[in-house]
Amino acid sequence: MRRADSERAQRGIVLVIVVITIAILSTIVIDFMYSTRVSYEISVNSSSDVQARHIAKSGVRVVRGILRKKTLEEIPVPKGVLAQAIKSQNGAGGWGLSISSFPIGSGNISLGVIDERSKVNLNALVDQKSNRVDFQVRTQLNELFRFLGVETEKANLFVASLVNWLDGAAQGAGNDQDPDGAAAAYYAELENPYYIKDGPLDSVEEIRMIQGIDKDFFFKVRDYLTVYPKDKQVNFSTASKTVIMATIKAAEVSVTERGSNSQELKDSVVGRMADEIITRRSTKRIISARETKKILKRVDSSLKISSGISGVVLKGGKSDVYTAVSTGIVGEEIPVSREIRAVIRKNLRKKNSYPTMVSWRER
Amino acid sequence: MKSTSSIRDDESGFTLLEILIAVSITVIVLTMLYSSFSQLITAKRRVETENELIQEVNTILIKMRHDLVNAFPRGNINSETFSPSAYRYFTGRLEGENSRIVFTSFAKDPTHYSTQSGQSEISYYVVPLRGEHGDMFALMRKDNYWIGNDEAGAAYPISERVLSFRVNFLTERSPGSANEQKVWEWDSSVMRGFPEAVQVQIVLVGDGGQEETHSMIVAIPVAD
Repeated sequence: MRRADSERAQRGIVLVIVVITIAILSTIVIDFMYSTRVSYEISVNSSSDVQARHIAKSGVRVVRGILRKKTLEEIPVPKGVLAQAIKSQNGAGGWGLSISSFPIGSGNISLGVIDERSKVNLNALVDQKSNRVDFQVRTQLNELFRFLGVETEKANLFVASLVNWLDGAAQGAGNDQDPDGAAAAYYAELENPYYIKDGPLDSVEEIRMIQGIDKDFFFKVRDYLTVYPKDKQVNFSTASKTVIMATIKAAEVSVTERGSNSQELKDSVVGRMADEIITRRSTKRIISARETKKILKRVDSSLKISSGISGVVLKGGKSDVYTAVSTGIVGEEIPVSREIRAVIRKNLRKKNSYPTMVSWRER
Repeated sequence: MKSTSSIRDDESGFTLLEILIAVSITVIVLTMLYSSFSQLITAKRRVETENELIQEVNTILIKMRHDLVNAFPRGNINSETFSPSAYRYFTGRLEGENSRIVFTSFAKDPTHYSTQSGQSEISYYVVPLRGEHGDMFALMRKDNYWIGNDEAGAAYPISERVLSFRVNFLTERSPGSANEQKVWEWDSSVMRGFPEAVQVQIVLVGDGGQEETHSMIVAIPVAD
């Protein structure tokens, strides 16, 4: 009896030991599997990151290669499947090139090209050499902000402050020449102070530092503004209706004098002119300054802003500054994406010259 | 009675010889196990500290790469040619055995609510450590959005076990002979632009005293 008892008890112990051992072993195995999985995901993530960056970089190279031979306006729109993927990339509604999600290597690429000359150039407001305000650009900015629904007072304060931000301590008109705008002292007295630039803007985001522009104002206008072209001329082959309207308004005033606006074109007439130009673009891709004048004359035959148009509209209708937005996406479960915004400048006088890189922003 | 005797039979012990053999085998096996185990543990520890160092270098180099590729020529972005009055947007020089680089960069995206432009002046330099690590340095990164004011900006150490930090600049327009393409000093206002590429070499020291040397070359896209 006793022996049988002790045997049974021992058998029980074996069972318990086995259960405990299995429990310990499975915990160890699960922990091991988990840590392997985590380190695997980390390494996959970092390799996807590198891949995505290289895909995005290759996109910029492709754009640069294409722009070496042709300008954006001359690129034929591809037919077939790709044609459907191409739509207007520019948030402001101008003409641009966009290819969304095209497979490449182990990932996908999205590519967009925006003409920087389809926007209003903030840096043209003050001439960097003479330090004088260009009143055509001033009108252009004021009209643009009005069309976009910014209150006049807000817009005036910002434009005046922008003049002071841009003008330097050089000869000619003095530094911080607009009494209505914020000067150096204003920025020095802020809670987090900074220096006034007294020079050209390096990015559109920089205007967030200037007095008079708040978040809503900024997001309303940022797609219509640029800092990259070297002069004020707007490309009517690519510009949006709002920018075309503001530019035609600017052609009415004189470069040097404030308040020389004598013609006072009505908004409805200017709107009709812009519509005519955009309609013409569907048959003729390149709208030169000459073509523009012809179209404007057709809308209003008494128009006398021919010289003004020559000043503000890009003569040849072919731009030289573009932004390429290239996004590489790798991975299906946890996609990793890298975006590069590169600004590229093409030398139109030198044929087949490789476009230079003006700005590069990697995210 | 019968059962008691059978139990005693079962409980008969081992001979001395058997025990001796068993003990000596156990000792041999344990010794072997211990020596291989201790080797394993030292190796593991070494690999771990080395890994830690590599991780640290990696983090530094990724950060530096990001800052360098986003470099921009401040005040010179909309002019086709180099303007001599432009801000000195990229400088590098040797301070003793180590380097200091200062450049303007779109290092981070501004938040929607801030009044920042996303532009800042980034500096990398070393400061000597005090105390028992007298021969070592802290590698500092300074981020200054008040560009032009050297007093402003936030500086913090990104590594505190740096033995050496050296940066040289690769360019096609070297001042010396055609073969001499390494330059240790750079000033954008003298060299009229960016270097084509920047080579960074960094030596870290681990807890065990081992040195880890890493180097990378970053091409500056805007110089292209």
